[in-house]
Amino acid sequence: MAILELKQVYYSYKNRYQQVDAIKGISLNFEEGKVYSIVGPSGSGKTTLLSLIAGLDKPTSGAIYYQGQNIEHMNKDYYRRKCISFIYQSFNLLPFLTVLENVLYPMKLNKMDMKEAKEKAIHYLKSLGIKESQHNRFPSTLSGGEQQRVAIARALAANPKVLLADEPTGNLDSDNSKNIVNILRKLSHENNYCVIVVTHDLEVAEKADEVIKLKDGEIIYGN
Amino acid sequence: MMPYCLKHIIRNPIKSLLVVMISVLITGFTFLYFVNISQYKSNISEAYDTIEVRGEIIHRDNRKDRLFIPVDIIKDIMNTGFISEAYLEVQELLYYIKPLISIGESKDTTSYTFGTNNIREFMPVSSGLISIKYGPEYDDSIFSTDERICIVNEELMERYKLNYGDEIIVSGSFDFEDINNLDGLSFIIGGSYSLKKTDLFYGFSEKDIIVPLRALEDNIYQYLNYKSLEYSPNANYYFYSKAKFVFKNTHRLDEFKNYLKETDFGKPIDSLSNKKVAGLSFLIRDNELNNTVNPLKKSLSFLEKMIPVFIFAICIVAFLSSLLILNVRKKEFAILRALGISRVSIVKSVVVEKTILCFAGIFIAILIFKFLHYDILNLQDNRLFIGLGLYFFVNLIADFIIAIMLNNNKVLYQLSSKE
Repeated sequence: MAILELKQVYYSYKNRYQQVDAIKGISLNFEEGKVYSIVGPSGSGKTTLLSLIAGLDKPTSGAIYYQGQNIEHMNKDYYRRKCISFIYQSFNLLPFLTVLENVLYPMKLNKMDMKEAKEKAIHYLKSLGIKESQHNRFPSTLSGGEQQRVAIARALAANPKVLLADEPTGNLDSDNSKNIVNILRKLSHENNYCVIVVTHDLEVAEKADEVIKLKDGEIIYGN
Repeated sequence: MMPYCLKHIIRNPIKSLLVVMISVLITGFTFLYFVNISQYKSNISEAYDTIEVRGEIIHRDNRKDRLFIPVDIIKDIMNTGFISEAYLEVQELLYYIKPLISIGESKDTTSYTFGTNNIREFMPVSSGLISIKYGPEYDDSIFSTDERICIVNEELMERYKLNYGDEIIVSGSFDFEDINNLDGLSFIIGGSYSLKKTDLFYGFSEKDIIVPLRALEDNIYQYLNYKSLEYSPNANYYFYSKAKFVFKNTHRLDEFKNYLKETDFGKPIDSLSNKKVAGLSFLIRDNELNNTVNPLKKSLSFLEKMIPVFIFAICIVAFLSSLLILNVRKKEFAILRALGISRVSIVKSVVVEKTILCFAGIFIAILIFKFLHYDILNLQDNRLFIGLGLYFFVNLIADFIIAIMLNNNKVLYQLSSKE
């Protein structure tokens, strides 16, 4: 059964000059344990689609279902806190929190027991190759690859079912890119996450279980 | 959100310090502004307290000959509540009384009997026309009493071989039809004067005697039964010949000036409704006070008028500083939104953080001013606290509005921006 289901989703907005139809009647199903890549040229609606899936924007028409429930009927903050997590190209770690605090933060928001949360955070960081000596450092002192792995650890910390990754390898060299893609695949296949990756990188896209190609807000290939 | 706020404050020391510094500066400027206002007020008040303003009744045409100031005028002026001291003087027995002084069996005429309540203000003394020598146990203070003591010319004393403590009788004939050949009043000689030079204009002569004003009022006038006489502008009884005043409540002197206008002081006789003040003007010597107070008042008035502008300016600074400081945090807000933190929580955290930093700034400013010996909290000008409160309020409102505006930005587009 699909964990995420998009049914005839439309999204349009008005800019200063005209109305823009960013997403035009997209219907998609996303399942747990699979990696999806969404590709397409700039302005094709990839990021808008992620934003809609994350509940940060509201579809003009159509609906998005998470585990069968229309997300418009859910508390959006709760939905983002518990059900989905983001990984970004520019990592977007909170710069004034340490590595460990960044990972702990979503767990604090979910009011987890702090002792348990700390153990879990350390486990995630270690399993993603972040050494203990780096846990109390600030993100700016880490390399790009390390920061992205911390961002993945933070994404996992809330224990979501869906990971949304927006160009997760865009700021990384090829070795680190491969490493991150492998981590995402491993998380999906071994831990049953539904991973949706928006990317320009064809090598990354090819590693996905399914590729969805967008153009001008419409699916031209996939699902 | 509190630990998050505190971490943000502590781990962004430059940003936090900037907010605190802005708060210190704004609070400091506000303090300085109101300290300045308070200083002007206290300088003005001090000027009113320390600069003596005197007034004097003079001839309307500034003639320097003898004045005839009806007692009612003096009483009315004394009752205005503006007079702290009065120097009054009468030149008694003017035209109608031809006084005689009896010394034992001898008799002599005097020109005038002068009554004064302050010998040092008495023109022949203050101008150096005469100098006074007191007998034992007597001094200037006799003039504030009603004792029947007199000061006579030393030549008169010599001529009649008089000593201090001797008694003379002042009597006279009175030209009113019903009062003639007054009985004498006895005065003890308490001092003598010597004529240093002659002043024909003032008309002080060697036969004049000087007595306490109240001795004349309480004795001679009572004796003349003046109280039963109706006031008549043509009558020459119970007139003061000099009236000088020292003012109190000088900060309300305009009210006294209005009173003078209402009582027709200085007006030409034909336009007078109050005939008692015919020929009289009231000269207020307040130039020194005005020269001191007016520039201070002008500056104070400018500062007072500029308060709304000043407060508006600090509100603008508060708003702009909030905008600048929060604008660099918009990515952080987007991260928090993506992590599932509600807009309300983010705005709350921003407001709490600003409250902490603003209060820290205000507290530091108070300490600095305390260190500089300014007692800010005792300024007793509510506008200071209104100004600071408004600054604080605008800060919070600005943060509130800006945080909401930034939270309404497209979260994912902000987070997708490449670094």
